[in-house]
Amino acid sequence: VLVDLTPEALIARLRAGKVYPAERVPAALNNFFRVENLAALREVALRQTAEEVESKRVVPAAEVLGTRDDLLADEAPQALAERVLALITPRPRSQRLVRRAWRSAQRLGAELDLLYVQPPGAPPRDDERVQLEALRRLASVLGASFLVEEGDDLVTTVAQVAGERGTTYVLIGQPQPRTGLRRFGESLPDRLLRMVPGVDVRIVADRSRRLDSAATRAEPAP
Amino acid sequence: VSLLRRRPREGGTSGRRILFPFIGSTISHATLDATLRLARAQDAVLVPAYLATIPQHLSLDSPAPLSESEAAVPLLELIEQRATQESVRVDSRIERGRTHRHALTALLENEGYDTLVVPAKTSTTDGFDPTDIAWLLETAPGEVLVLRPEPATAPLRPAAAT
Repeated sequence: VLVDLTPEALIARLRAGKVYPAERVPAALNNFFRVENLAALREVALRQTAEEVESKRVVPAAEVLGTRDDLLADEAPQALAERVLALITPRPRSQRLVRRAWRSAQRLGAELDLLYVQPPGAPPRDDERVQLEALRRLASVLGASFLVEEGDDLVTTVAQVAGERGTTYVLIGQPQPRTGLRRFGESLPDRLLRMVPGVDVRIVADRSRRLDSAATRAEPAP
Repeated sequence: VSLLRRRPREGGTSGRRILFPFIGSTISHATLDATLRLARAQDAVLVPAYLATIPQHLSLDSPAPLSESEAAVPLLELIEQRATQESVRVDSRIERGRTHRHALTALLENEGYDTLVVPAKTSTTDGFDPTDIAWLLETAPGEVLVLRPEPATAPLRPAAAT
């Protein structure tokens, strides 16, 4: 509940002794209860209320679908809400993945979640911890949620998190080249599409691979 | 034989890191090129860091204003593109604070580096003003390199990245 008052009205109430006892009024007027502070506080309160109202706003399904089908109408608001999930790893390349995901989320008007799936019993190394902390700070700066889940299987964990959070888009980095017997198995994007049905999967290219391939080309074969 | 060839270690092979804080919506061509040449010569990782300011009426932990994020993201993308062309590895950051100097303080606390490269402000490009540079020279640990581009050179803008 927001009770809105202009700074002048609040100061008048303060002077009238309706906020503090009379002996505290002069000190209050000289400290926090200044017009500029109260105006800033009022702006924050109004902004926060507006954001909360906006986030709870339900788009009437009939407006969107033009239908009287009750079932569709009930599900329409959820169907319209986009949510992006970016799968990160404790590597510098994930910084770009997060920025790409943020831009996608901005275009879609979507919330953004970042997910790191940590293998059980394998705490991050020091360099990985530094990268995770940097990613956590980036998430905070961009207004994204930073999630860490333990899981043996990446795709199973992603499917679980995507289901819980209503994810509609998954962004992944460029998968590592598959070697050995893994070459014959199902690829990560294919597994995601199979196990998280109805969710779009997008792969963000890894620029550092260009460096690697350029270095490999430049290096004469022994 | 090619199967035995090891991929270059991610994050640069020398282990050196060049921290490159920047502000505003443009970067000077000359400054970025010089920084990339230095990173390449030292086989170092370039750590470009955009410094975002959070207004007083918002909590310091709150997300950066949209205008700041919208300036930072394409500029970092642009720097990464240029770095890739120059075969320099990148580990980008966005740091925030109440002022640029406040964000810079947080950046210096959070990031390990060997060399700090600071773009100076000119009439045509964004950068740090003399008081911030003087403060950095007094307080920042390690090697500090101040780059002042030719005032006449046109700055890089994110639109050029696409």
